[in-house]
Amino acid sequence: MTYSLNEIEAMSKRAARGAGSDWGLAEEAGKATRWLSEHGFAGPETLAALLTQNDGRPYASLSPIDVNDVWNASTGTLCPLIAGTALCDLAARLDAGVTLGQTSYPIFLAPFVATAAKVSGTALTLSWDNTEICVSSDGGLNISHSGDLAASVTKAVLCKGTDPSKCTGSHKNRKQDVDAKAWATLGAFAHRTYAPATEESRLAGAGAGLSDND
Amino acid sequence: MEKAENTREKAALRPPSQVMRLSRMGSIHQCRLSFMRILLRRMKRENWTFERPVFEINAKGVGHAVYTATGPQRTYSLVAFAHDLPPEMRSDRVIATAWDATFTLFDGVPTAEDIIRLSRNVPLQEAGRVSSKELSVSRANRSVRLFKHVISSLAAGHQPDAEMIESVGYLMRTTAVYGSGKLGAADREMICGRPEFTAPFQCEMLSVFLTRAFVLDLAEHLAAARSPETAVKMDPALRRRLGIGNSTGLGMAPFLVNHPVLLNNWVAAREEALARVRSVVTASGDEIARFQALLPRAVQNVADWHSEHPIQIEKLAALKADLKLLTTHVTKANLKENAPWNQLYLWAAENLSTEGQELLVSLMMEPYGDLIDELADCMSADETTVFPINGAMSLADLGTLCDDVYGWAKKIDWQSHAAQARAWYVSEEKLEPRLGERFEEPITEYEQPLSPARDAIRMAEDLDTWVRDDTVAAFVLRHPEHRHIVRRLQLSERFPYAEIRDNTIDADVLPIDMLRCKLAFFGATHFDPRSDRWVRINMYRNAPYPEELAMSAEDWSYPTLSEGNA
Repeated sequence: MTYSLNEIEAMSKRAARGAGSDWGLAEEAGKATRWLSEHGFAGPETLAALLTQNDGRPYASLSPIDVNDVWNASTGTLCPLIAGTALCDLAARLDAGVTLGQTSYPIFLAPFVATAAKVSGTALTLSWDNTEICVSSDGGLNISHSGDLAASVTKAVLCKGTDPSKCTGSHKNRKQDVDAKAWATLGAFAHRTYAPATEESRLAGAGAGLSDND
Repeated sequence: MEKAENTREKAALRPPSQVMRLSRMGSIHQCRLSFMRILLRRMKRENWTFERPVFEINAKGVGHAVYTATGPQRTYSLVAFAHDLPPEMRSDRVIATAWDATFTLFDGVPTAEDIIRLSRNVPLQEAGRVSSKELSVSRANRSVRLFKHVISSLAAGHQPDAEMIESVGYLMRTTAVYGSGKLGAADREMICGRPEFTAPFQCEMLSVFLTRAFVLDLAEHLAAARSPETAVKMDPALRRRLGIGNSTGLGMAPFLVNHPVLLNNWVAAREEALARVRSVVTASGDEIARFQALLPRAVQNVADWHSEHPIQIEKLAALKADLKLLTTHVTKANLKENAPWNQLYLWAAENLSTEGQELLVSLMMEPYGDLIDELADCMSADETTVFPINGAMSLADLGTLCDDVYGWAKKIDWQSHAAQARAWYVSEEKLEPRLGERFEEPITEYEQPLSPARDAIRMAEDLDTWVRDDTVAAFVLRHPEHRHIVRRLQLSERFPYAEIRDNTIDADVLPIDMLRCKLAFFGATHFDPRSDRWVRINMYRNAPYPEELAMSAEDWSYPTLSEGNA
């Protein structure tokens, strides 16, 4: 089924929240998933796999212990939403180069680095295994890869400044058809954010009038 | 930014601490910058044309119709489906599953295949799917008593009772108008580059404008079907008194909190307009005459405004008293010289209720289209550019920002139950937004992030344990629970009217204040709260119908004074 980008973002945000993210991070998940879909990647499908994998794992175990040297998670594998958000927060530092240790679904770092490029006005490259993604400050995007773009894990990721001429592509073939199973998975996570209906809340919570047949 | 030479040193903008209080947001009125007014101004200026290529509705009122609106570059079509709804299914709430009529605004002119596809989806609303060819999805329910009365009157060959029309004000009320990619419709980003859709909510407003024409046609059609020999059309003066109602619940309140930049841009445009008018040194005879002609029409508009809700009854009484005072005052006041509108505003601030002050703000703008209408171009927002957090900001600066925006919230005793009495949540029943009692219902774990004041205070408490020259990036990495409020605070540095300056989870919070603010920006009138969290309003009351637009006056939102309502 095909979904609008706004639907993809809203569902992704709710799903991330349902999977345990704080709201601010869930908002990042929504925006990042939307960016992936907008640029032709399998955003919702990747998010569904990531949330399923990390369901129930505490934030502290998925986030970088230290962001001064190589970034590593205490349990061994970084969550790309948390690491990507932190990369973007440190946008000005990325030009000099930041190395991440083992990271899940590294494609999810791309939207954050794309935003960091815009914020810092610097062209950046993100690379792991045989994949290289270049993003410029004006939205340019180039991808070269021989490996699996949707890899579920990689040993290391490097983010550093690059020559803007390397990222002149646009790569804007939206991918708005979403795998039904992945969408259902996100829906199940999102459902955790909805309060069960009670008669009391049905009557009082919305505050409508008693009759609309007037 | 000065528009004319006839301005003194510009009057200061009113501060957010005054403007963004819920009591004031809940007292504002439509103005020249309201979205319905922006839309009709553009369509009139550009000579838009309107047609009704399809009207296939049977004598029971079941079928479909298509209404087209054509501008300089494109045509849009309202596709309307009329249904036979049993009374027991008529509900204005999100949890309803059937309606008297359902609609979509189509981008272009629909083919027969499009109509078939839409007929299988639009009547289902949230349970159906539309495509990127559709720009909005909406539905409406009849005002049962007025609809019946109008049809039986017209069928019998006479005009409906004017008083009854006045007291209800609409034949149908919409209960949701979805845009921006909802249910599979086109994302706003796909159409926001079109000049006709740069201002906010223009496709939704166009959809409602055409819906009003359809509803009147439907009533006249049903009257003619009932009694072809005797039926008459509705008198043009009377039909203009009919708007489209809207029944709205809590969904709109979260919108204002969830779109802080948009809220800022709406309010900032209106405040800039006010400051420009207050800066006018000398008013011309024409400008004074326009203001003075509109004042009694505004009085009439308030006289036409009915509500049974105790809060609104009280506010209306105060507003009526305000208008008496104002009417007397302007007969003596010098409206010509020495920055007359500034003086009038300052007088109002001393002498009128908040409702009265804000009505005057709207009225003062009316003669000054040349000075302020351009501000309509500043009311949309690209929210993506403000999303990233500035991680390099120092915690000292974050603390200062928090004090600037939420200093007032530090005076609240957040340990008291009253300060946190409410929680906003979404029900699993059709995702209806609700407001519950935190200490009486098991809802806290489902709470939506709609209490920025409390969140700011929680953040400030943790901030106190950090070194001040540390960075925001380091803080939010260890405190992801504060990321949401940090983002809000950082953007409010650039967008001063982004944050509501009241506690949105207080035991005494009135969600209708938030609804009123948003609806007034839409251009709605006649706010009629049904409870503290539900309001009915009127849209396009007194507006021209599509075929009348070219000949209409731009101040249509104030009723004309005729024999019937002078």
